[in-house]
Amino acid sequence: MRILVVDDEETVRSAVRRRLERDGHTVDEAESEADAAEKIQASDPSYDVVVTDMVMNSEQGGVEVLKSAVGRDIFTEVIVLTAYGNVANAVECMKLGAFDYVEKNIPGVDVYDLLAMKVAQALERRRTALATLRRADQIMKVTARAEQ
Amino acid sequence: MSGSLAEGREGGGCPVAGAAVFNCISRLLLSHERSLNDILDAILVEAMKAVEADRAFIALADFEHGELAVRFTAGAGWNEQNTALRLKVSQKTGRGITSHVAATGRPYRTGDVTTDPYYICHFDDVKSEVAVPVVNAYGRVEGVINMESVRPDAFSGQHEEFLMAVANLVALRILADQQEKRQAALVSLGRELARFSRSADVFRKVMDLVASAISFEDCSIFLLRPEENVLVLEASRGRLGEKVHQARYRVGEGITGWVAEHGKPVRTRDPRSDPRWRGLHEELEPEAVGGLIAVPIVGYDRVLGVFRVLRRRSQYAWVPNDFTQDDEDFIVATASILGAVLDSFELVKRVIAAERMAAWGEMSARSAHMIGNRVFAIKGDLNELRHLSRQECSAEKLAPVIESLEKGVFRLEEILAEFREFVVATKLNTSPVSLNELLEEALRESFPRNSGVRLELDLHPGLPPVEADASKLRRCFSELVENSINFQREGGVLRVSTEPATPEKDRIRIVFEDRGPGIPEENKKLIFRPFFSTRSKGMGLGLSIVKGIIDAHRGTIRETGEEGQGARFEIELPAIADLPGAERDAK
Repeated sequence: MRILVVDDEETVRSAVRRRLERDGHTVDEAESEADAAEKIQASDPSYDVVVTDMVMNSEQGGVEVLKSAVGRDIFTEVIVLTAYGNVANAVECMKLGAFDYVEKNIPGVDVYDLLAMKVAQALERRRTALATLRRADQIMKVTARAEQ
Repeated sequence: MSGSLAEGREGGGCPVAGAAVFNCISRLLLSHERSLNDILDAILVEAMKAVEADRAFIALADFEHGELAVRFTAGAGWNEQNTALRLKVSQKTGRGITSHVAATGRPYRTGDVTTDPYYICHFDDVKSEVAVPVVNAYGRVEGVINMESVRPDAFSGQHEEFLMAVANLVALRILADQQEKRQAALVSLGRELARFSRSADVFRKVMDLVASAISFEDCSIFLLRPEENVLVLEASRGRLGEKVHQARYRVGEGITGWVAEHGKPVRTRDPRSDPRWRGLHEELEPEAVGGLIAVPIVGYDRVLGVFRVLRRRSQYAWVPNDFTQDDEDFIVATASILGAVLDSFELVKRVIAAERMAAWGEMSARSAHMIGNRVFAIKGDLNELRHLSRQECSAEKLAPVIESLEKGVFRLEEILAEFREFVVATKLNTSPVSLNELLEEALRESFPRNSGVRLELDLHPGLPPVEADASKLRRCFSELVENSINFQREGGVLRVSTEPATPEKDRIRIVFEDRGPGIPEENKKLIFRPFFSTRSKGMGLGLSIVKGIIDAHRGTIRETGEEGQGARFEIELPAIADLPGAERDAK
């Protein structure tokens, strides 16, 4: 599966990439909102999941990435990473259709494994959604044929 | 005898020539261009001519030492020696016509000195003498005007009366002069104190100015430490100077403590007879005190301390030298100006603290975020390590993870270091410092050899020293150098200059100017705020730390360059005022 990791810190991007590659995913990196928008636009096929930091150049960086991702493919799932004090922004992303958010610093929790799990769940939802879409498409085609 | 007062003797009523002499003398007294000394000198000559005396002098009381000193002389035969001799003899014996007049406060006249019980011979040719006291508004003898003649019975009652009138005018002029001096001292206090940055300088200036306007033996300033409820000696001119920061009064203890407790002044000529007196810390032996004024230094909402002035008791009964209501009013006015200045010090401290507090709020949120991010990255490396440890893995696979871990921890430490610097930026450990030397030192340490940036130094010689924390200022200068180098990667110029910021040299300006891209107008206000950075290193605290350090020195820093022309940082620091040898650089 194709995943894009967006964060302004190189160390964070590579740590996340390494973890997700371990699960067999293909991972690209973007270092800013603008970089992400470019890569999302150029992607073909579109990314299955985008993991993005909330605060980068702007306080609303995560929201911008979310908009770019669903603008390219409505079924791309977006997971937002938040540091201290950004939960309110993350909830805003959820309202706009993000799959979930993950807090970077949860004491005693291996957030990387948690993130890997969320990515798996997001991929599952995307698969289900795409399957539903295909079925609906099929049903429409069958119905249309029956009407002829 | 024409032109003299003697004419009036026969004529009765107001002698016309006498009126002319008065006109001349009162004009002299009104003169603003001439000093008191010049005026008294001229008056003495006029008065001597008017009474047709051959020799004359004015002796003035020296309240500080309780002496009567011959200050002005007219006529023939005066020299340094007999001026001094006359003074000594009259003091030692308690005899002498001058001392007698001073002691009684009444005029004295003798037509034949050879039979006079008070007369002491200094000039062989003297036959008659008249002396009148100069009595001030408080009925105190300020001095004596003395006339001598080689003729017997040279002086009449009218001469004596004329001289009394002259003496009264002289007393008025002395009073006016004293008031003028006090007014000037108060104006100068109000005007100059604002530019001082250290309370020690302020105390010294206050004591100097008070000393110029009122004679006293000693004075001390005690400040209240509210948390302990004690007054602590902060400055003293005389022998209490050794007990600065040690001599203490509890509030309410002794006269000084009473003044602090009640916020009211105390004036006494004999502290020992005052029931509040404890005699804990004294500028003079208790029996030597001839006058004491202790007034509260009052700030905006509380008593800040006590200002105390002492005068030595005169050895001579005829020189009463305790303080007057005028003296007290002057000290009260001085103390209230001092109170306002101390208040302003406190305010500046609070403003800086408030700015730092605001920065702290942003700081804690920001640093939590940044530290959180670093820890997140470190946890990622740990996750990888655990994963690798579950399988057989080679050292080559481990190495990059460990390296990344190290980098993560290092960046955490970098944040901590910056954090610590921000915290201690306003805590100074100061001493007199030569800015020029400090700049040269800082540039030697921090200016890179092969940067492609040319360094131009233009240091103004003979600047007064500043009271500064050398290591903190060095840190400021290094930060500005680093900034400039970073923004002139392709090479350029850094020009560092110093100069007096004011003609009085009470502030020094330091300018760091480069040919880099400069600061865009919209960023000028932001660059000194914490976390504003266009670079990725650290937390962006660099210039906010610089500003914190300069603020704590009671200086200012501004960016006055033009975008596209280069950056220009202008720092102004207060110089140490009135330090002996301030014209030279501090060593």
